[in-house]
Amino acid sequence: MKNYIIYLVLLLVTLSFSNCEIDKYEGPEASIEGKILDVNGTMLQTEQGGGNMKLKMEELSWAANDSTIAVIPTYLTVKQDGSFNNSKIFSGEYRITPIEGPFYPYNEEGEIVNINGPTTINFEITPYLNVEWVTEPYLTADNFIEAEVRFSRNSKDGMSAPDLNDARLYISTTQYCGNNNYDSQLAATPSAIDNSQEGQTIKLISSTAVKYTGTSYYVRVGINCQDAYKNYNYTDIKTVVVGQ
Amino acid sequence: MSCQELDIPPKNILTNEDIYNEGGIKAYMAGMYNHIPMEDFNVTSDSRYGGFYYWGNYKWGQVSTGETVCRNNRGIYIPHAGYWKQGYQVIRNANVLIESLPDYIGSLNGAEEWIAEARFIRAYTYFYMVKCFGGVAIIDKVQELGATESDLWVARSSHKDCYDFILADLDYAIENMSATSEKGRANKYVAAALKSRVALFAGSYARYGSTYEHSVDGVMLCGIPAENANGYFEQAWDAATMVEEGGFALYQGNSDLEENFAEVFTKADVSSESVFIRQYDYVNYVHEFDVLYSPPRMTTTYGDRYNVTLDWVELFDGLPIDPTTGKLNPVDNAGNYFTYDGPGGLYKNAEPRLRGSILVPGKTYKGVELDIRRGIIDETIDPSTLIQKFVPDDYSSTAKYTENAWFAANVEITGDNIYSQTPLEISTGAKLNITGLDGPRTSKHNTLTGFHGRKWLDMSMSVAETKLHVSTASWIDIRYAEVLLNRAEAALELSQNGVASHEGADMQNDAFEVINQIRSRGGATLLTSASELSTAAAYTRGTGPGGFVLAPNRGLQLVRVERYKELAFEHKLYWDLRRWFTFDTQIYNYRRRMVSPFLFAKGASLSSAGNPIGQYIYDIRICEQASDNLNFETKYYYEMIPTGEIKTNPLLEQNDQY
Repeated sequence: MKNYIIYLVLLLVTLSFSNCEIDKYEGPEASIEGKILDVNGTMLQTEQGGGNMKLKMEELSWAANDSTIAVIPTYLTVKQDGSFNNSKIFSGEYRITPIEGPFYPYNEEGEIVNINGPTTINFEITPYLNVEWVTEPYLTADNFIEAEVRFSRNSKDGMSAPDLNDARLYISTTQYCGNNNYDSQLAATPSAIDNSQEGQTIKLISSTAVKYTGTSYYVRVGINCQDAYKNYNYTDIKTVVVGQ
Repeated sequence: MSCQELDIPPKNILTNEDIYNEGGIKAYMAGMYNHIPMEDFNVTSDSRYGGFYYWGNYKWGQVSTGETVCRNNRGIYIPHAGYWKQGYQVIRNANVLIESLPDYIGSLNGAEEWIAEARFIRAYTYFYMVKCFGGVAIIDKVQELGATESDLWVARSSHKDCYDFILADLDYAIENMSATSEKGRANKYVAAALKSRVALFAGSYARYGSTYEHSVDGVMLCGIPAENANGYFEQAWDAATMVEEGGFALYQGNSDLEENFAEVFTKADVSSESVFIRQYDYVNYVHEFDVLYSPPRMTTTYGDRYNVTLDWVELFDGLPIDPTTGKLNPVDNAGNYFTYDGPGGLYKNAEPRLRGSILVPGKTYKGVELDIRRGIIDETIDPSTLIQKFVPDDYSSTAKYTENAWFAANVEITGDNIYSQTPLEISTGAKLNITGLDGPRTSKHNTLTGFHGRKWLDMSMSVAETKLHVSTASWIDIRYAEVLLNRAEAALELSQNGVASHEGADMQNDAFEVINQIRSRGGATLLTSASELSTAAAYTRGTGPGGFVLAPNRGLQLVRVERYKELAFEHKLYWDLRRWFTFDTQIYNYRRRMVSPFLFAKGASLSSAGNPIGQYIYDIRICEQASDNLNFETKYYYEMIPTGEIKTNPLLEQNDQY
């Protein structure tokens, strides 16, 4: 038994001195950051992560137009305020396209971006809807959360506008409030809405009264359309403070 | 020294002489049947085998369609295991036969028929791949290694060309196969039955898939031009009616309609309804369905993965359904619960097909009397008391029972282990288990929905025999009821789209008669006239009976609901929702619902099995332990071509949304 242990130790020692070499390739030392903006330069209100939209990134320089090499895309997710940032990315020529979001499809060619060192790029998209507060969310006398919003539809040349689908009041106990994160007891069933309600005031109310006092709730309204993704155009996030 | 030259043929390589004789070809063919992508009991999420041939199928597509849920998978589950290279292996094996057998016509008995059978296998395999991906690469020759790797690359054909290729293979099989075959093997009518399925899919993609069409360089990889729809539906109808000539009929071997429906599955080997089955064998190929899907008391291990949702149960006749919502109605107009003699009072008059598809509380299976109960109402409360509904049933509320003040004060529930719970002793001395021994309980065990499924379970196995890796009951891949429903759907699609009559038959009336055949066998309420299959607006969820199953109009809704009721738990509806393109609207902010039975302690007694009998109320709500919000992502209408395959064959174009 003792012998085996000695052999084992010897083996480990041998292994630990064997050829370990750091490879000679550069690490991912470039970076990319930017914003998703609408035509007015307003940042897109979205969700943390890839659920409400994402950026498709195709690295083109490795294949160098050789059609026999398949380019497999990678994806970059965005922050809920519509900004994005990846500080560890390989230098190269990328085709970047914002996809699957609550906006009209970006042009298919995307943007060709030469990433080499710190790179900044913004994308201009046309959201399906602009959603804005009419009355910021407030606590009713019987402790329900209520809010009023209205939406306006945007159009884009050559594309038909999708029909409206539903509106939903999202309530969360953290600042990450949206369709990816909400209190399912407070958030009411989505209310079906249609195109004719454009510009009208839509009133939304939580399905139950809030349970806790001395806390804050983060509130946001999302409205979506009947496109392939049914992702939401959001208001910004407001806080409702529940007193003692 | 003596050196002897060792020049003998290698023993481990089969040569043509080994295969092209009667025994050899049969063995070769058996191997191919083993490897066709049949969604049977051994479908899993395991990608090593492309999602097939592996034990542990506790996850299945049915959890995403509103049919079932199980504690291992409470969110949505999309079975996309990247079935690709396994398919091309089967296809290559089939191509080998299709290419070389013509040389043996005359010398090998039945060579023509073997060719037809190989083409059936090829069609079957291609159909599964086309269901997953849309158009795929059609390889109809045995590829040989050429001078360059790129000789092997084949681009994807259009979605339509793939369907036409499959249909041509099946037409050849129908033409050249004999009328009968051994169990588990194809024949003329099996090929016709599969054709009715394939053509129905093609027609649906043409009619409903325009939003998700995807073309690259002028080739429509996903989607079929709409003008082809009627042609495919006609093919589906023709093929389905042909199956009738094969002597198949709905199984009606037992005059008790409830047991009869269960026997369709347990007597698959002898039933006149089984068109195409897969048999199992204790030594070679088994499954675990009984172990995984029985209630825990009816198996030695695992169990309880077969939790049928209320949304599905509500589709059936004979239940107290509110016609204005299509929902089970447990309360009177004032919102107070109805009481029922229980257990199982709610299902007393239910459609026999439902009772044959689920395990009914109070009935005994495998010597175990099914005991389903969420809790007990204290003895101080008389069953005549008016009790307001505890929690809302509004498709979104996930409120806890204990938040209801009356509930908290008067109803006993327990989080204790079901077998070691402290029973409630009442004034008569009877000890009542608070939670039913088969659930549902305050944890993720037993049943999350208040139901256990029955379809496929082999009740002739004792509890002790119900072990891992021993089940050998047959799987029915195609049964005549599906063929009839294919026919009804094709007929109504035609009737509503300008083809009032086809082959001399009135299409609307044909759909009506076929649906009534199915309903009559299941003990359901019959349609009164063909005009019920109308183009009036369909119900949506919560607006009328069957509203859970979305459809473009009421007539098609009735057809689709019939498929839901008849073909549930058979890996069929998952694909139906994909080909109808209603998956993303039907499974949108969908939370599965449950039934929670509560017993009045007052007046309760014990059955001979020791389970409480008495007055019950039934609460309905979103599943307490599986309240996840389900959304189908539209990218799954067409799955992702495995990226590894794109790297080895750069001619493959990826699907949209990946």
